[in-house]
Amino acid sequence: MKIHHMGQKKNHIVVTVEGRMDAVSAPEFEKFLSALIDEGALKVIVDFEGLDYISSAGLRSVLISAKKIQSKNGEILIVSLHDTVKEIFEISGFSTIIPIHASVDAALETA
Amino acid sequence: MAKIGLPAEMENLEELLDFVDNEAEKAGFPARRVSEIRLAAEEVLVNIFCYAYPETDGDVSISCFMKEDFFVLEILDGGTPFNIMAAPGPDLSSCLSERYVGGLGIHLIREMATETRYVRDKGQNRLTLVFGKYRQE
Repeated sequence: MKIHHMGQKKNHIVVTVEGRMDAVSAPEFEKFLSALIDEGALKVIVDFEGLDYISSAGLRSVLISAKKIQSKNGEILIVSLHDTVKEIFEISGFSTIIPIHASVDAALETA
Repeated sequence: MAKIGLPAEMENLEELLDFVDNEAEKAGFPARRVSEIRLAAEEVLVNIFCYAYPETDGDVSISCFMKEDFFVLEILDGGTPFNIMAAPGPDLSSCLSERYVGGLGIHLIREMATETRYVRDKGQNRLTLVFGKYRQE
């Protein structure tokens, strides 16, 4: 798994994630987001276009990050899910509790 | 039948899952289904790594084979007797702030596998996951 900080777009920090988010790599994502939030980030877009696999450990990291940012009245927007990853978000019920958008631009339009 | 056995440690997760991926691919399963099989296997393995051997070290083994048109995974550990499939799933209706995520892995296994069976056999937990070529929604 690779995580990149892509800078800001309209007050939103954009982060891309590539590869697989499993029990081994998920803590890394959580740490990355946690550091961003501690630095004061309130609006974060997580671009999963390059993500081709997520397990419950990955979902848990997304959830923990979302809760952390919510406690500061911020939010995480998830964008560009592949079909396989989207399926996991849907089956787990996450797609109803975390905003998911088709692309970074689509997320910014609604923000 | 292909088989792999390794210490039940998180550092072996990728190797075990790559083995499963490879076998499912060789069986001619489509890429998306291979990914779903990997997911189910990860959920089972992580549970074994975390709970099967609370005070000792132990191994986990995986066997893969085809039975008719089904891809079968048998996962064995010699740890604490535990039937993961009998554990409660998550409350999917609860909101984000109170959601219980502990049972999520079990829910995903149930959704991905066509059939699951558990037996405690000769001091081992034997979990059998059966996968059809496509997920049943």
